[in-house]
Amino acid sequence: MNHSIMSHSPILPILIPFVSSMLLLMLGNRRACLQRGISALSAILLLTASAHLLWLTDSGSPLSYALGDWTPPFGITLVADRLAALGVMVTSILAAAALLYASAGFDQKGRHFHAIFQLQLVGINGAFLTGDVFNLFVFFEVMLLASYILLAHSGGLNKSRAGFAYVTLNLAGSAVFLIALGMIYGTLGTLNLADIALQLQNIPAEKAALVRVAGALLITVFLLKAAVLPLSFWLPHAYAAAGPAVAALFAIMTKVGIVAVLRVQMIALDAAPATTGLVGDWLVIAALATIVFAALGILTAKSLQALVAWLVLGSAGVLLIVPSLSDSLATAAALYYLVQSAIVGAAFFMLAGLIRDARGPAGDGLLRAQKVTSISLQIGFLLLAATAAGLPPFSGFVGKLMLLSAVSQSSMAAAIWAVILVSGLLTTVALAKAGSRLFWEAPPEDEAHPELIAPAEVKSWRQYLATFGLIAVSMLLVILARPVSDFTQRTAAQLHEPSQYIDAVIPDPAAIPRMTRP
Amino acid sequence: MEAMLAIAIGLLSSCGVYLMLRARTFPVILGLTLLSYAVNLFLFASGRLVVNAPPIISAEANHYTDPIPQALVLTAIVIGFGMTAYIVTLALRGLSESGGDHVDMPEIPDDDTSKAAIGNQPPAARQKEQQS
Repeated sequence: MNHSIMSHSPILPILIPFVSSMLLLMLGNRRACLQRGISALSAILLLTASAHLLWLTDSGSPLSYALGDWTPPFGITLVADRLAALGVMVTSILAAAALLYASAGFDQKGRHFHAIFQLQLVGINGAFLTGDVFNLFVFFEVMLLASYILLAHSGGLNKSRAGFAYVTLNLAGSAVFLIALGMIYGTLGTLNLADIALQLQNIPAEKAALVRVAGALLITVFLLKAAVLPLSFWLPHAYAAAGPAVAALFAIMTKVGIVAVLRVQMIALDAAPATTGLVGDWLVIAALATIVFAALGILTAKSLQALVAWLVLGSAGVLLIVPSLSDSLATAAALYYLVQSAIVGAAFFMLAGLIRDARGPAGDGLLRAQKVTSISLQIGFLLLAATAAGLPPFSGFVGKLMLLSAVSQSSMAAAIWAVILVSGLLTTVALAKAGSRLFWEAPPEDEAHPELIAPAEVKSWRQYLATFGLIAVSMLLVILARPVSDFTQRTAAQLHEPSQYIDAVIPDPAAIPRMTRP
Repeated sequence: MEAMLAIAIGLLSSCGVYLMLRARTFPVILGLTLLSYAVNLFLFASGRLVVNAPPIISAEANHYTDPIPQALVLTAIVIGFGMTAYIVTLALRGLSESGGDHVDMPEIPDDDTSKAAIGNQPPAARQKEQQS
């Protein structure tokens, strides 16, 4: 009995939120307590399942799970390697915190919040776990459709405006994704990632160009999700318009794009002679440009939530330096940075929401209005700002330090060091300015806005617990930096050895019947 | 047949991209729809074009067409349909909230008497009005 449940563990992170989402849909908008109860139960089960998956994958080779027992490359395959398990784990932590935060009242400001939230988790976890590129498309769409709805939750013109641009851009991205998939299927005759890697090894010369184009289109779509410059203009608007709990979960979505780039590049593209070097130095340059763009955005942000959205963009830029370096240590450092930046970004979005409630009508706008006097919010801001800016001894510093020392052998080390350090300085300046605006500067007598001074909304302990829980997790990442970075090193080592992944999915490539096509 | 299909895909996607770059929500949605038609045809063609052949095993058939692209297209159509329905709703909501159908959804103040007039006119009439 125990064994049979164990063998199904790769699908649990998809199944748990899916079942609870269906239950929540049937429940409709009645009984807020029951809705929250189902959501909470799902979040706890998801945390347990992802921790179990993390433990399983850490102690062995990647787990391949064939739905309906159709032997790969036929049918739908899920693959849980360490990277997927890590992504699922971070997602479940963020989801638990975001649900707790939303349960303070945001979830009842519109319809079906909990059902759609669970569907979004299905999409994110599926995108981490899927073993073929077409299901990656499907899970991306599930994730995006849910995110469109969550973005528009609780309404407002600002949300409709940001939502329309976000949806249009992602639909165009989906079209490009499908074109890439059509080209891959047309040339290689398979969409299973492990099988793509095998087929790429002996691709005839006349098809090599088409495959390269397909690979480039695929990477472009992932980079759109990861928001690399010049495909990043959607992110600040969309993330600044979302509700705090929703934005907190969105902090993992750019990371899904980055993980997809890493996975496809390491498993399939880099190992094959036709497509090796497809993700080259250009990505480092684009990533550095993204960091600069984000740093400038941070300086100009008009509200705290917009500022955090720019911070998320900057962390995406830092992560995208890594794929083209093809260096296991750099990938390991990036994975540590990925985990900490997702958690810090989410906590910061939640803190911005708390500050907005505390300041009344001025909201989280960075203008001189009512001061925030709450000591806990001040401490929370200090911790998060120092972490996001990469100041020692916080996890942002540890992540950047690991990354900078890992890239020191690269040919572009000087540029990478300069951009990361200068952008860190700009971020520090902007955060210091924002902090003093929010906490210290009272409006001068002559330009006081009496309409901006109002009694603060009553806040719920749930919002505090969620925000400070995530801050505590980010502090744990410093205390446990050694075990976590050891794990990311094992993850990177597994990723840089694609044969492990391929063997787990297709142990005997010679036994697969192949169709010959014109 | 290949040439015809290629021309159709090219025409659909170029019209789609052109319409997508317009500044009003309705043409943008039409453009996205045309683009998804082009993509579906393209995906369908990735299994090669075969005439009069079944996709599943049958006693009479001596050759088959590739069933996988058909399944992929079916999935893509369903997803595209859902997405289009959602973006239409979003555009309508933007129309009712901002009073116009510009993709940037600029805020038209409540005291502006033209708001009701703009909101109730069909987009074509409004464009004519602006051109004149």
